Amino acid sequence: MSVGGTVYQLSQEMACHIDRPRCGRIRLSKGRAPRDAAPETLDEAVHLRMDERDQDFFAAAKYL
Amino acid sequence: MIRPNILLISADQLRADCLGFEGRGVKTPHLDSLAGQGTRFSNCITPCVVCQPARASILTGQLCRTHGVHDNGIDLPPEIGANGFAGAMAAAGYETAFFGKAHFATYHTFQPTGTPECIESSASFPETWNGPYMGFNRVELMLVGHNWFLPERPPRGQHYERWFHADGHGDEKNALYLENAGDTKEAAQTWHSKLPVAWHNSTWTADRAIEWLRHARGEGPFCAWVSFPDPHHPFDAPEPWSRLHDPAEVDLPAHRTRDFTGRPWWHEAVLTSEPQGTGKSVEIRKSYSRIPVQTDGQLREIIANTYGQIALIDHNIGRILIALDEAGLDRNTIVVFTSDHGDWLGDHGLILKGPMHYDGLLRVPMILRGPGIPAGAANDQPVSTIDLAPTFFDYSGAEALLAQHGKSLRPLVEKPEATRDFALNEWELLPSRTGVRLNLRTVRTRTEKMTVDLTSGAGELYDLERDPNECVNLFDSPESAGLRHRLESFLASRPDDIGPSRTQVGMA
Repeated sequence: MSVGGTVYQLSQEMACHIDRPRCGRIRLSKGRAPRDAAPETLDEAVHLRMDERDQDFFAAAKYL
Repeated sequence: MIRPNILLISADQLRADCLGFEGRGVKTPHLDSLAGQGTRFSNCITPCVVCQPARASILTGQLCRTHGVHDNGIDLPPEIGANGFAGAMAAAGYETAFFGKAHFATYHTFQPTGTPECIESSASFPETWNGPYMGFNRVELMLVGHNWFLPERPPRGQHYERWFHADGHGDEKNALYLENAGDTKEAAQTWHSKLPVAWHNSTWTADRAIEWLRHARGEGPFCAWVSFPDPHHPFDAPEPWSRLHDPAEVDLPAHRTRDFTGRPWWHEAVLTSEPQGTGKSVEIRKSYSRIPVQTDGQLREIIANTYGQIALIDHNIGRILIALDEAGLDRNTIVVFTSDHGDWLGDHGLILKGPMHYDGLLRVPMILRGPGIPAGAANDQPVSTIDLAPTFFDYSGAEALLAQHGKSLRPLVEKPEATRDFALNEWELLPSRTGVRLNLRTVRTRTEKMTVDLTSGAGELYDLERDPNECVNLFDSPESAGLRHRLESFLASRPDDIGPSRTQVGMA
């Protein structure tokens, strides 16, 4: 698996777990942040890079 | 009158000035909002600059030479802990709960001690154990919380560690945690951790508190302590939080070179002496608890990473406050945010903590929000986290079960003209930490600070208005003799109830 250029070797069971992280219903303000919904893919769940999605996330959460 | 709920939220090793509203550029929108909705104290100090004594003092409302936890590695006796603010609130009919890092007892012990926080002894606690512990009827604990020591594999560990390893993939998560996803210029103990945020212990701490607020608490008033284990070193913020602050843009301390001239003797001695103890504990103290001088570029990496850890805590505090709101509890809950102690974070060329009580280490955040607490107010009177227990009693009507050294903050909150003269700090430092034994007493007024080693008589005194970077030690200055005498009288006013020295059961 490659996330933002970083390669990870993860078992299928762990990948499934990441797909259902406990923070899947994060809410950061009165409005809903982009990650409020449970991630659909491993790449989406393991948000390991400051990419465009992170920019959206941080902006919605008022960190940017 | 409806008794208010109490929600105490704490960080570990968080300086008072590392919040957005303090002006250092740390991104903490939720804590900024909390401060805007409540009252903050800009001169709140810790009663001791290391974890266990400070936490025991918050719980008991007593200075550390009275409850006896005068250094790390000493356990708070359960019979005292059970009569702290949680026990008193429970006796008054409050539901009490604790989530996160407690550190009322020692993790790394010489022998098993039988406490739920002793790593060796934790294996004997069943998964169904949830307290009571130190007056809290329900607890969900993590051990250590600073992943320099990775989450223990079952059967060791408590609630966080068991959850972390429950799917059988804890080792894979730990491998991710230890990887550095970027270049941190070889800054000490600093990396962009690849641990997914879903498994970070700040996330878990908030998750457990939110779950309890939504589904597990009863109908009566509650008193809960939510205790985050960061931004304590190592500086291991997970991506993307580790990249939220650009190292090139963070502020550096105005005075960041080591300066032993004019300082008391122990400033240099604690950095050069050999810690006492066994080989393993000495190695930990030398490699984990001492950070060598860093370049400006490395210090920027450390500060930016620390800010990322703080922002992740802020994010999770936001989640908790929203859950409080959604449960309809926000209007009748007093929310308090503080820390056990601060961090030098580069001041005077120092990082982490030790017996140099510069303000970055001594001063901690203190925010109160709730019914009857003015919004947007700032108070600069010298207060302490030992004032929290009597504050909770004042608002709830609960009766203290122990003698209280602290005083309620409520008069300062409700009467702007109310004043305090000073706050106290003390630390009887064991030689296993630095190789030096000290018996320190510190007094902090609104504008001055003095620290004295009672054994050697040496000391330091700073005028914080004229010398905010604490560069000129006035302790032996003839012109400051009157000030020194006044501060000594404050130190002498400490209640005469110092207890016996307690046995060190683990690494201090």
